Amino acid sequence: MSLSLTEEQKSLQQNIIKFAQSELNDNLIEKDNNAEFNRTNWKKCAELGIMSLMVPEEYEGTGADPLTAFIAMEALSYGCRDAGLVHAIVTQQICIVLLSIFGSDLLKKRYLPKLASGELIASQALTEPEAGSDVSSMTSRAIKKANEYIINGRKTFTTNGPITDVVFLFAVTNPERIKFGGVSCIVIEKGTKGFSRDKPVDKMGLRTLLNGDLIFEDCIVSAENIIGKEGQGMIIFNETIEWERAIMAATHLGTLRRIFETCVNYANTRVQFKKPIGKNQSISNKIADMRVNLELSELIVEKIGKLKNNKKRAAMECSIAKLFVSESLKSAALEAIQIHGGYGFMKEFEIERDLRDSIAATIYSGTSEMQKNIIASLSGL
Amino acid sequence: MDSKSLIKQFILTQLVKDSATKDLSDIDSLIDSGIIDSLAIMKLLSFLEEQFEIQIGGDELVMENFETIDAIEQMIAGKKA
Repeated sequence: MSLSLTEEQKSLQQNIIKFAQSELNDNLIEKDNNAEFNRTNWKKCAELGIMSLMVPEEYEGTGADPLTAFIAMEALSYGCRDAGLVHAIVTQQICIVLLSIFGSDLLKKRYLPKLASGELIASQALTEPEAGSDVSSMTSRAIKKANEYIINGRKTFTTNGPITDVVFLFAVTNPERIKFGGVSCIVIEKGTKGFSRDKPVDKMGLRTLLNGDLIFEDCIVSAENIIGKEGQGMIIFNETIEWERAIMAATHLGTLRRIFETCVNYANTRVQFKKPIGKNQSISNKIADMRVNLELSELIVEKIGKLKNNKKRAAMECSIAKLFVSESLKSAALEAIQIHGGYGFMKEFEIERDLRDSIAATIYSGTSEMQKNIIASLSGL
Repeated sequence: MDSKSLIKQFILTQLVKDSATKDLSDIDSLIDSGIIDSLAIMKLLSFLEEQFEIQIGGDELVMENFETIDAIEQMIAGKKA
């Protein structure tokens, strides 16, 4: 984002870009091939303070305002070409926001400092094999007995799942109110009896991000592990996913900017028929389209940053941002391959990975189709 | 129009999916009747915050505050007081 940044924000932006470009881009082809999460770079990001951005200061965080956090995440994804690592960090931040807004003091004290330092890796588990966008199909159950919950169920595709230390689980506590008021959010630690993590699933993109199933078989946790109140799960999820869409849009913006600049550079330096290929309108038009989408993406991300800074609700704007920036990113990643021709198709040039990674952006956190449903509904339909 | 009437009008015109529902009592459960679900709550919160120039967050985002028209009105009144 280039509009009206403070000197402090500009400095943060430049420091993160420099750090990411110099520290986070080694051996990415190999790690992508091996579907390998980079724990070393995770720690480096934590040491720089990326994870702690949105953690309140009283819990050993930076307490950055939302717009500043979005600027930082845009800078990270601009400089870091490991989209899987960036996504893992976004997930950590979402869990931090969830806990900061709705968690008890006990849970905040227990987990926020360790999440801020990156010592613990967090995940959020909602999706099930038969319950994606349709939460009313959820079958995971958390039955309260005395001061404990007994949890049974299986979550799927959970981001950071295979390596998670702490999971924020959404499960049904009141089957009679499954559509609303019957789902609760409960935090569970790795090592809890009855909780197991399945192996990572194989994916076409975001391969350095680990996703997998989480299994709960008569898993017993204390009732004090509930986030907020029993039955508050869908409200917690709604509030949290608004933040998720905002932060995702900021990270997609950073990647979009990097792809745009890469294409401009290539179009100016690749010479065919004695002129740079960018002099051909068929190429320059593609880049012009990218520029239009980049500029508009900047505006919507800045808007939601300012709304969030003013503690305003921004469900519609976050859905618009998530939809528009992720679709712009996917489109730019595809055109980038065309602009680079045969080189774009080769893994060695690291253009094709952006396309594989970007396709997921229009699926997770609510598909583009779901975003349109939300936008239409919030528009009065 | 008073607060309660504004809330009721919004719910009836924007959230009720069943066109046969022409009226609601102040104590009808909006959750059990299926009027408030995960999408409807987003619409309702946006409406309440804009209409009454308030912010609803954290501890106020509990089911009890959205169970009935009465409950919503009481929460609004408490925040405006």
